Amino acid sequence: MKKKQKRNKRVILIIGTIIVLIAIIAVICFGYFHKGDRGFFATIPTVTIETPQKINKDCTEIIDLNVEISTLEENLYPAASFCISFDPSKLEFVGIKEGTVRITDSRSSSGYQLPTWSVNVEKSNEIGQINLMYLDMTGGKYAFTKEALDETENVLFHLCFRLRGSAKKGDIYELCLEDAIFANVEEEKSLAMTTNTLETENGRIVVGE
Amino acid sequence: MDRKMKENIFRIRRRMRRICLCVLILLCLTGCGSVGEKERVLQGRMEIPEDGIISKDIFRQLQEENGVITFTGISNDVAYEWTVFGSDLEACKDCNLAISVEKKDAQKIVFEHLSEENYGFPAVLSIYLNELWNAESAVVAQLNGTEETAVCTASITGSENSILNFPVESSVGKYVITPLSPAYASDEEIISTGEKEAEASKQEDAEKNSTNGSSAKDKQKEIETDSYLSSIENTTKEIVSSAESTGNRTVSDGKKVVQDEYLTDPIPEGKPMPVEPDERQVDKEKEYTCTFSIECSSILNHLEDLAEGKLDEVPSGGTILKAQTVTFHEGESVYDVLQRVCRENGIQMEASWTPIYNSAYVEGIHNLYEFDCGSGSGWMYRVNGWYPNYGCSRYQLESGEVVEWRYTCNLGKDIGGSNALGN
Repeated sequence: MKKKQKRNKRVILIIGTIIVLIAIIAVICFGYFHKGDRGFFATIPTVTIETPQKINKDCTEIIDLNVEISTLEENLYPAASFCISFDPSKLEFVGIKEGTVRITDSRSSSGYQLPTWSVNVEKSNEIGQINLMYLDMTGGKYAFTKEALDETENVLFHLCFRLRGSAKKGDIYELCLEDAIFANVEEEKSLAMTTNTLETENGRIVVGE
Repeated sequence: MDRKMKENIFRIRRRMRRICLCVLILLCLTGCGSVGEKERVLQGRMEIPEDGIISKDIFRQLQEENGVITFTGISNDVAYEWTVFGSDLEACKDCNLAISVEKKDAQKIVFEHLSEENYGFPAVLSIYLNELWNAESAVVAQLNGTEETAVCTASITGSENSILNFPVESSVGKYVITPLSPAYASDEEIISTGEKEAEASKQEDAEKNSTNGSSAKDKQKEIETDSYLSSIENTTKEIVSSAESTGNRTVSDGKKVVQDEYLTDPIPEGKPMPVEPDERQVDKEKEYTCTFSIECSSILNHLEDLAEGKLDEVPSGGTILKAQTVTFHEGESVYDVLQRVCRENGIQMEASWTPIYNSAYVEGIHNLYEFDCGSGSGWMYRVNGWYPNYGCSRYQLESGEVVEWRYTCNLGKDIGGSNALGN
């Protein structure tokens, strides 16, 4: 009987070990294939312009596009800037709306507040490029930080557009992130598209019926 | 004995439970299985697997959620994206979204759908080139052996690398994409240099003396023999032929530095030179089409400046005439077409002749006049995204051009047209 029990124990132990090993291998493979050269569990922060639903060609409403950030690294980012190009002959940039991503603010009861982005709407429509900037003049009191991010949705800001009269059914207007930076006081800790420490994903407006 | 056995069984069960728990936690961490898949769908972006197959379950979920997903893939170092809208999906089935992209030369890429059957839904394909195409649009043509049939045009965006966007209705076969813009022609052929500048000025003189000067014909011939246009002749027969037949206007080489006799600042390089109204000859037998629209949406952002009683004249969305295809005759100007379009659509329009600029000046459209919305307000026109810096009577239209009449509240600054006014 004892022999049988010992045998059972050994079998269970072996099966358990095999299962655990398979799971570990799965974790490693997952990490390798999904994170590429950034290491197993490192996630490159990504700024995404969300593509909205198809827009009716007669739409006169304001088209709202979320610009989201997936995550940030464990640093303070007292400045951020984005450059987004669009076709000003088809879209009129109306302005931006506040998102959900906040900056640190020790004076606020919650410890956070929404950032104030700077953008010149007229100039944007003139050159077909939206240059957005946030700058904390104190150098860190009012900075972007990972702790202020939400677990589900992190909208930096909303881009607001209106279709021009020349928009036609089937038109596709790319909203291209030409540049994106989250700046840290130490340059090497900054996240930038140019140094591949910040990824970007474009959005597009598709005109339907 | 029984008790000992029970204890052992209990111990084994407890260990089993622990092992199962560990495995479960690890599986959750890896994100394996259908749970992970669902999360990725909700994120709105998904990588196309190596075999290219996206399962019908994902499409079904997309349809149910009425969402938007971007499927991303890469082929020969060229990234591509499919944008699929849940609202476009009818029957859901497994689809192979992979394409094979092949770069033929600096002005041509070929791609092939790896799918053997149509997806059954329209989608948007975006191809991220690793270079900049100096063009605003491109022709997408289906390849049938050596024959090319144009199916649609692709818009080109991006300041460092070009991004091609176009709708896909049929998802089988091989396609070629070629940029559609004279900007791609060699400098030698399109932009005058040195001697050609002299020729161009001679041509201008000749044009002023005769309505259809021979040098203009030479220029036309030059454009016709352009290597780029020849290369896409088969794919865009319709587009090119109309450009050939109406393409008898001169394009600026951007080298002039002084104003012309009608106080027009130098025309930017590559933009059409003005054609004087008395030198134009309208050929009513030759008909072409262009896209025409009239809008005043800028007023909506400056309602506080709008003159009293004018609010009723401003359409809710700012669009007075939606973009539509209109017909014109060879030799007609933007002003000629504006007059006709307003007449045909019952839109009020008032203009006056300004000899100093040798052109009509549009004072008001749809009862919205200059200065109605501030001291810097008035009507401006734009053709193919450029605000000409000369009057609309001097802009001779070509087939396929996109004309927009737009109301500015701030000397063009609010609508991207300040350069036309020399600001």
